[in-house]
Amino acid sequence: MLDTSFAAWSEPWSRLGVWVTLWDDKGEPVGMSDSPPALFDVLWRCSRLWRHRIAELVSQSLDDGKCLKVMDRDGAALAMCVPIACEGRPRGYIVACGLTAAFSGQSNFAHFCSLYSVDRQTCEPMAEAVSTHEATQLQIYSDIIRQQASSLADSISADQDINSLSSHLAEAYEELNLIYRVGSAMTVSRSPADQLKDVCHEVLETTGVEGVAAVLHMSAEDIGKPTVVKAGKINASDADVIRLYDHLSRFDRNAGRCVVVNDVANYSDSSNSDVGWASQWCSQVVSCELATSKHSFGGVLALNRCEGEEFGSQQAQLINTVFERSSAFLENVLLYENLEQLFMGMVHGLVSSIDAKDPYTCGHSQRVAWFGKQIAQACGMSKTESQAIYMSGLLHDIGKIGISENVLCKKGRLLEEEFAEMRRHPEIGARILNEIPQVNHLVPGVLHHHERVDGRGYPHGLAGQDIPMMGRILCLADSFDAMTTNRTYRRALPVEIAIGEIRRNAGTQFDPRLAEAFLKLDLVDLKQRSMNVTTATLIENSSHAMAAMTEGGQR
Amino acid sequence: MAEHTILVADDETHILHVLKIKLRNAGFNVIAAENGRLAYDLAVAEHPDVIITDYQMPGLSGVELMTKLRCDAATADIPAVLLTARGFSVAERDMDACGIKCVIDKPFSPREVLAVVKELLVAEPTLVGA
Repeated sequence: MLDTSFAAWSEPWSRLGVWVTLWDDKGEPVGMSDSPPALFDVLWRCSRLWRHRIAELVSQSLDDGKCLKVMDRDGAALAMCVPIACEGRPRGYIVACGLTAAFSGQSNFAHFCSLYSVDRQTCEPMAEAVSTHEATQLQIYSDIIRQQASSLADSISADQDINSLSSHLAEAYEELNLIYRVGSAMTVSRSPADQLKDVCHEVLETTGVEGVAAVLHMSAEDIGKPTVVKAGKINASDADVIRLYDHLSRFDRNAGRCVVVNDVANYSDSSNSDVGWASQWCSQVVSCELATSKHSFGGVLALNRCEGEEFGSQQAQLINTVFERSSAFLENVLLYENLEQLFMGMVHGLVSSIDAKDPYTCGHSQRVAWFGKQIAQACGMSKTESQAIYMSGLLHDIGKIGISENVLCKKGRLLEEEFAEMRRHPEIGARILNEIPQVNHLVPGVLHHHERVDGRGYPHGLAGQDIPMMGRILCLADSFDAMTTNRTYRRALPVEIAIGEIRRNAGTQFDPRLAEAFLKLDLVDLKQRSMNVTTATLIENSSHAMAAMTEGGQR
Repeated sequence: MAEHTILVADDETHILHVLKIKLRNAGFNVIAAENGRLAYDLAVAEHPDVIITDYQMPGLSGVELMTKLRCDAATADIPAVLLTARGFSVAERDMDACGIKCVIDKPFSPREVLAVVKELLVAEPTLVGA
């Protein structure tokens, strides 16, 4: 850095007859001009005394830090040494040398050559080529050189600043890049533990630590048994990780929600609790909470900085920022789950209230939904499709809300016009659900669950494969439940009889393939289990309900 | 054992500084240019081992720069890393045509860029000692 510009500004001095050289901060020469005045070149290379005097000049300057002007005894040569000082500290020295009038003249020259042990004859032509200067001139030159030294110092300072800034900028870029990567990878459809593991890996690489672990509890119930996610090298059991996090989370927090411990073996906080027991596998740690203003999900540990470095506020800050985003994401997951459960709860409530009008149909919709899901799964349908069938099953009789109670709850046989009224409930239900875009895809099950494959069903008399799959499945589920529960007009049939009825009507009322798949199931057991299906268990199984809704609604 | 030379081109000088410090600290010789034209001249003069260039530069873009360099046998084999703002993409065809081996979005991870440069140097041993 020093020497690159040296060539540029030493050249004009040479032409003036002033010899400038560059020395480092240890008093060693590092820069000689490419084209020094020849005389000085010879003096430097051949005269031990000359070299000695110049070196002495520099070392004196090194000691007392001042700029010296030393006249050699006869005053023929004047030399000065200027320190290049950055922030008070010399980074190098400029030594400049010029010849005075006392150099001119034969006898003076002869004396000069013998003093410095250089050959007079060789040096004579060189001496003629070099200018001499008045003392006042040399004074001015010395001022200029001092200025140059000062500029050099400033330039070195500036370069250092730039390097320092660039380093910090590079770190900031890493952080920014990490935050982008982590942010774009977060989607609500993946499990929180998986997502958190990915984030831990990213942090591991960017911050240069040996291991990153997260202690996660999504809900209050999990606090006793949190999930532990690890990335990198952590020679400790999950239980130990949890224990360490617990300890640290109770320490004083001075940097926001982060605790930084660079010497685990000897650390203790003001309450005198220590973490020395973990020092076998943990020498340094940063601990961070995973929490938003409303919810706490646990915390994160970053262990053992690589290459013996310590954790500073910058790493703690980065870790905090990244996991703050994770916390926001976890909160979304929690809210989403709550929303799903709320939604399912509302649907169940609605459906129960319709079924409750007729004591014989209490729980009917829940059971049909459940049977429908079993049939769908037996046919190998996807989770989303099965869930849609379930939802459609829950809502299949919603149209009954539009049927008068006289008809719904009539004890005796229905008259023809009363039957006609009852047969309107699929269309009423479909009309209600068609108003809501998110459940449009459930309408086929609601509208067509009373169609028959032989075309003699209602409302539209569709036949065979024209009946949407949802309708065919729910028809079977609906009939099975109707047969095996008490009704106003007859008692419940035993399962074996119901099985016989299904077999008899396969191909006419029921889709034969579905009937076959259904009959392969253990229906006695299925019926038994269906009686235990309560609203609570159904709500528990509500995960993917929202996904099924929104994905289905978008089709 | 000659050190490798990396040419860095970007109209944003702070990016030049960041890459310079990262690459120099890793032992590379770094030459920098603030626009495509200067980068082209430097590439022709110095024959760097790897080029890291911004895509969107005034005058000559990163892709145009590399395409030009392909026309000259002396610079045709220099592999390049393209830095682009998020949301811009380059067709793979175009990349292969001009020697761009890798596209990295900004803000980039300096560590990642260094890793890519090292990989490119390993893959092209004939370029040692420019």
